[in-house]
Amino acid sequence: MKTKWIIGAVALQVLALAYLGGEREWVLRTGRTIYLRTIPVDPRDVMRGDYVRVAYEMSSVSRAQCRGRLADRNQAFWALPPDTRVYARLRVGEDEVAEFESLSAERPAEGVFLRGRTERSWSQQLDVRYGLEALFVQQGQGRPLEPSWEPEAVQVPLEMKVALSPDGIGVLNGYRRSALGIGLRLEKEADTGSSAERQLRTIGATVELKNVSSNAVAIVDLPGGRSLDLMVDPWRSAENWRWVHEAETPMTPAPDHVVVLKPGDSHLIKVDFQDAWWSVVKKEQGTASQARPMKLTELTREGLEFCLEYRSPERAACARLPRSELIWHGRLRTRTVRLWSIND
Amino acid sequence: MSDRIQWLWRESKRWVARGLISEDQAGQIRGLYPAPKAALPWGTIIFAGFGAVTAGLGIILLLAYNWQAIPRGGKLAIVFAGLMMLHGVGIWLFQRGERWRQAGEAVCLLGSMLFGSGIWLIAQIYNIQEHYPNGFLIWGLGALLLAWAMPSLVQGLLAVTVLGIWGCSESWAFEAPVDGGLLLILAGVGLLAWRLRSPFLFFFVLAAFVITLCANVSVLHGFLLLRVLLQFGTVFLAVALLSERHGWFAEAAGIWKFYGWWCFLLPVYLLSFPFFAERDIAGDLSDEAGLRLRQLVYGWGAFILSMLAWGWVEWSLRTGSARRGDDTSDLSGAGGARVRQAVFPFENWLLPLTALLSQVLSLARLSNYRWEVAAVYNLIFLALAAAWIGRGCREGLLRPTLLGSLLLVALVAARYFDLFENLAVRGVVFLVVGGLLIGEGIAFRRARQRLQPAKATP
Repeated sequence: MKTKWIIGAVALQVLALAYLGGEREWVLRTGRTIYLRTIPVDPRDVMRGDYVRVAYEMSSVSRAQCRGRLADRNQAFWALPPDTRVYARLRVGEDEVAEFESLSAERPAEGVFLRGRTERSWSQQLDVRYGLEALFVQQGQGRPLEPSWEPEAVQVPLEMKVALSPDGIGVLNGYRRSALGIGLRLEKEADTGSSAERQLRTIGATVELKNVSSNAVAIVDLPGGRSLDLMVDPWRSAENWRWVHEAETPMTPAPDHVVVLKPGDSHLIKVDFQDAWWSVVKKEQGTASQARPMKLTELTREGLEFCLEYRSPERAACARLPRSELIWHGRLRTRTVRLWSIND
Repeated sequence: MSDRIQWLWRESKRWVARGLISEDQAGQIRGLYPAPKAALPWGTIIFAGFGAVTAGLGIILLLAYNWQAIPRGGKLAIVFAGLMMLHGVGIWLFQRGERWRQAGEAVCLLGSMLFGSGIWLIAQIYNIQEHYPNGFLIWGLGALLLAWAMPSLVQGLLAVTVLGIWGCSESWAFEAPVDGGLLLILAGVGLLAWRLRSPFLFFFVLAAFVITLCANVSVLHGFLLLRVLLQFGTVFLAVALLSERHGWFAEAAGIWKFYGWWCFLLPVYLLSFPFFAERDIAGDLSDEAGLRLRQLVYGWGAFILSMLAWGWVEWSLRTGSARRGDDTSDLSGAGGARVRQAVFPFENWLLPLTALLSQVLSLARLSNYRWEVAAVYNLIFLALAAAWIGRGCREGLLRPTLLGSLLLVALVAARYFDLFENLAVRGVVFLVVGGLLIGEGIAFRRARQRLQPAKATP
């Protein structure tokens, strides 16, 4: 009798492991394959031991991207119970690359969606974990997947291959490189008229878009660097700044804005921060205050950190453009940089 | 066999040889002091346990290298085949007889280690990054099931360790304390320790319980921690008294006392500092309904448990109910008072009194009276020290005398920094305490001398 109990206990151990692996194996074998673009992660945060940490656009969600009860502004995100189940609705485009549409606490009745859980969050910014944030690799094999430590090097984000079950369970099943890489060079000048001679301020930037695939790829370069968005990093900036054109609809592209890149070719987009387009404004409680918008070059030694994001126009807007079939769709974010730095 | 029994056996043979007593009498004397039951084979348990843990870690590290050359199926086969093989061999050895029992337990322990590592290895194979404390919970439950089925002390140790890690990681890493974890540890593994009559396992059960309790309460609200710990300390001490008196798993009474005194004395000592007393009395309950309810359950639950436990102690003393054959069972009447004092020192009533006081102080709004609140705990600490010293000196007992003196010195040392700022006052206090300690030494020696002939008299 005793032996039966012992064997029963052992069988339960085996069954527990079998369920754990079996569920994921089933998703891998029967699930739909999609690709999720990762956000280039700061090299300081990427490698931890033998797995690569990755983040997605949908890993950090604003209130505007939420639907259902999550969209209710009266309920602060930090008041959500820990590990609340949420669903990210996805739109699957060409090459099975999925783009994030919205986040809700209610399970979507149809469509493609991914199941996740909320992380510790702030008032209006919800961090979500999908269980796809760690790619385990053989010891020592993670280095090539890291973004380059060279500040001006072109960063090529990973596109994670995910098997997705109908009820939203995602299982990582590999990765591939994005067709486009992005690099950033800053133009700086020494601060004049102050005692702090070692300080450098950023007056402009050059964004490099490079075709790292083996096929031709087209991009859309709107005049004046309008294909780029300025993203202020709220966690690393001393004040609560936001770009004045945040969430604005981009201008409609014209045929002469399309640039076709052969494999290995790069295209440079110059940005002049003395242009009023690149102004920022302080925001309070999530709304813009009455403060005057300020150009980036007008900010004196502000502890502001930012990145630039290349954003392709919507598919519909590109439909009539030449070589529209080659146009790369998605977003690419540069590394985060400081507006002011020390001249060493 | 203990040294004393060996000595008795050796000497009784000599007494027979010298003709002092007959062989029959020697046999009768030896019969009064039977050799204790064979102790656990600690050597086998410790070395087999360490061997199993080390080998388990080796397997984990080998698989954690995550050879890409090994296909997914191969990795899974290693995990499942290893798990089944180890448990198979372990069960086979376990059933072969007493001689192989420990070896079987050790191999099954290795199997349960592989079960735990298997959870993480499968997570690695499928790139699963879920709520990781769940892995500890599944591992702990797997080991616990086997611990009950065998039954096995080492599996119980593994289970209580892993379940403790689960409870603490839920609290500290996710700020989501699991109240059921405390029950699981106490009922799941504590009952196993009782079934195995293992104070050793029970020591770890209470350790895991106290640590998980601290983790849970500190996350719910830090201000509750010292008070809840203090009240649980009084509960543990009441259970120790009841356990000794009624013979309920009496082997563990010392463990209950050990944790009881630590859980009681440490908070009382800390609350004797105005810094901690202020936090204890200033803590407001959360505005959030669910959190508020849990704060109330912990804050009041511990207090109610304490009152119930001490009510039971009192009832037990009044009715004189005790285990059969206990010569202290009748504590009623005037004569019983002396016996009652011997088995149940009156200073023990300081414990429920302190639990009650701490609850009352937490309800009173005394934010501006931190020194006054701290003074209450200072007095409790001092009273306990004085009672122990007094009893030790009166009855010539070293342990209460020494412990009471240590409490007194600890209290004076604490107040040296925050109360006695004036050097002259410090000097006077040290003179008084020094004098007390010297007087205590003299009183203790006299008590020993007085009791010595009495002890020698048949």
